[in-house]
Amino acid sequence: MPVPFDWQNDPGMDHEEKPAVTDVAAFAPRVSQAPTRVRPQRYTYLSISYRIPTIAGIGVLVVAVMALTGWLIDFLPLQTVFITQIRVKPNTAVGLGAGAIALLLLRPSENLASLKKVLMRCLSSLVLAIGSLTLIEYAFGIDFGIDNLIPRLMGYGEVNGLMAAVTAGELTLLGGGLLMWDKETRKGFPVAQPIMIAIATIALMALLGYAYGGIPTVGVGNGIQIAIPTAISFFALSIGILTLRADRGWMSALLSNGSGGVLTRRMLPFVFIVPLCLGALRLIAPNFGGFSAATVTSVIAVLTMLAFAVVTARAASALNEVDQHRDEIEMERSALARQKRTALVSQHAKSMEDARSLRQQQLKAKDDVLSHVSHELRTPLTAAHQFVAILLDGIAGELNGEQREYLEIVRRNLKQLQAMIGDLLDTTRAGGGKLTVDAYPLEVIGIVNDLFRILRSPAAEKGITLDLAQLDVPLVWADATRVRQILTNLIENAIKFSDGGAIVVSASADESEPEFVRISIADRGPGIPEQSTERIFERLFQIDTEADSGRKGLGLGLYICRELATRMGGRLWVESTLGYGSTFFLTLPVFSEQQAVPHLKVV
Amino acid sequence: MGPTVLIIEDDADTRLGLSVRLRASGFVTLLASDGAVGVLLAQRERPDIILLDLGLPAGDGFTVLQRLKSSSLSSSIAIIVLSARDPAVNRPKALELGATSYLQKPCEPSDLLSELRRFLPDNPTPAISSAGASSELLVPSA
Repeated sequence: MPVPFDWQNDPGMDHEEKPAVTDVAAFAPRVSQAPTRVRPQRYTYLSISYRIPTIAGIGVLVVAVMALTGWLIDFLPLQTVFITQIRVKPNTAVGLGAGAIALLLLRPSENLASLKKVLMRCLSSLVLAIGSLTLIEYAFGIDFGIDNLIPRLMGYGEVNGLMAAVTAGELTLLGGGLLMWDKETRKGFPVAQPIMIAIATIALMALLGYAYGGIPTVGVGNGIQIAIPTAISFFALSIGILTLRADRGWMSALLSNGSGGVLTRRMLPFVFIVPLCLGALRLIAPNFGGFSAATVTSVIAVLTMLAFAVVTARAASALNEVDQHRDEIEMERSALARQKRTALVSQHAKSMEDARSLRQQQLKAKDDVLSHVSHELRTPLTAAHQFVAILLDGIAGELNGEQREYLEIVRRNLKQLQAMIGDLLDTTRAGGGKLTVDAYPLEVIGIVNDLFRILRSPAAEKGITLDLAQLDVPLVWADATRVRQILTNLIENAIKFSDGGAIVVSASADESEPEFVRISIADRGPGIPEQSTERIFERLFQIDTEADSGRKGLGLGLYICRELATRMGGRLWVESTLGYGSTFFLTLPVFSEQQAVPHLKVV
Repeated sequence: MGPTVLIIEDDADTRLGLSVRLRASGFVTLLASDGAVGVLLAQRERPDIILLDLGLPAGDGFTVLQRLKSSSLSSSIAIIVLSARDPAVNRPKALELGATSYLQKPCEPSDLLSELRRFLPDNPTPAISSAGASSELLVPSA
């Protein structure tokens, strides 16, 4: 796990490049209380980058302390830090130590307490002072007496305490860089970085000089050379200071976990190793006999090309990997999103399903209640009806005309009530799917004639005649009670809505569908508006125009009729022209011998 | 004496209405307000025909039907079921259990009379007189 910087205290927070947050949660949209939009954090940084400054600081401090101790106790191996015979000069050791402490002070928080800040500044200034004063000595041949300050204090004889000019330059750069460690250009580029890279470059040059077995050419004057530990220390310090601001400038590219960082880190070893090897090759090649300078140069050129090719290929494959990885993550994420969506949808569907089944339960409960109630309503009605019939039939004695007339009114109302309750019962049965119909071979014309007998006189009262037109009507496969119920309803409606004229009931085999018998009931009523020709079959639909002509029904009759027709395998619909009357059509399946006849009953 | 009809019907008014109607047509009526009394009367009085309602206290019409048909004392008596229940379900069931016929309530008096006459054992058309007798044995229903 990467150790995060103390970003909250970062004074540079308001700069363009926002610092990294270490976990992936940074990708998730954050609810920010600040009104300003928080830009999503793009990268995390290598965990090692948080330790480099500490490691470098401590290492350099150890070197400096060793060298200084060597000077204090006059012990050469410590003065050279056990490497070669070149001593780390006392002032160099002081400068390096100060620089190292300054670097360590910058850890772990960038927001320094003021005391630490002052101390850091002092140490940096000390480094700068040592370096620049020495440089001035070199430049103008002056001796400030600072070089042998420590040896003299320790009571040594004449010692050359003057550090290499390179070292002085490095110290100057280091001091300046440390003082400017948090300075940035207006675009947020840390000024210290190029300085540190300069320090690292010079140190590297010195080290390479040693590596190739020569004397570093940067040594100026007196033949005083920069010691290897010193060069390493400068390199380490510069890297430490560079990594201190991993999120800034060039270092963010190098140390980030973004693909750029990964790529840079892959290529960087080659950047160092390849030229190093090629340099070595160039150095040793002339010692192999017989090779011309041209040959050696061409070999080196080719090897350089190869090296660049390999590095480029590595970069390309690294990029591809990153791409692939990103694609995989993208796919995973979209799969997750899809899953989530599916889960949401199914959850929604489930709640809809629950709601529906609850609604159905409620409807069923309502229907059960209605069914029970209408049953209970029937019993007293039946009794009342019975006694009215007994009185009208003269069983309890003769009635006079007025008594008979009034009893007829009672009977008519009872019948109406009975029909309504019947409709209600049928409707609840239809709603509960319990509206049952029988099926057996049936002659429709018999039923029509029977109905005509009953309805002729109420029709005649309104000046309406009932006519039957029939043509070779085959037997149908239906329920006599239900067919009678439908036809009664249709003919009664026709009478109700007509004023005079004829109601024609026609029956024949359907021309377009010979497996059906088509019965039509045509009236000369006001007709039905086109937009209502389907709605009249809906539950509780009532036509508004009949306010004066008798009572409204329950608005269930046609609904039940259509329900019954459908259950018998037929259809019921209406065709109407406003002002010219309506024709209702009922089709019923023709009886054929193939039909299974569980209980044959011819009516 | 005309043919005897046992009316098993829990609603008192309906029972009386049926009785009045049938007596007027020359029948003798026996009245029972629940199934237990109905079975008792049927076996003791051996009516010519039974009118049976389905919704009854103390054992519904189907139970009564079964008990009447399973006893040798009453199994030969014609039973007309008279019910307001959905005929599509109840008619086949009643016929299967041994009912002679099934009439849908409410029914026209003429339909009831013609059905009764159809199932009288020796078919002696009862004389229409007002001298019909009625014996009522009522047990208050629980």
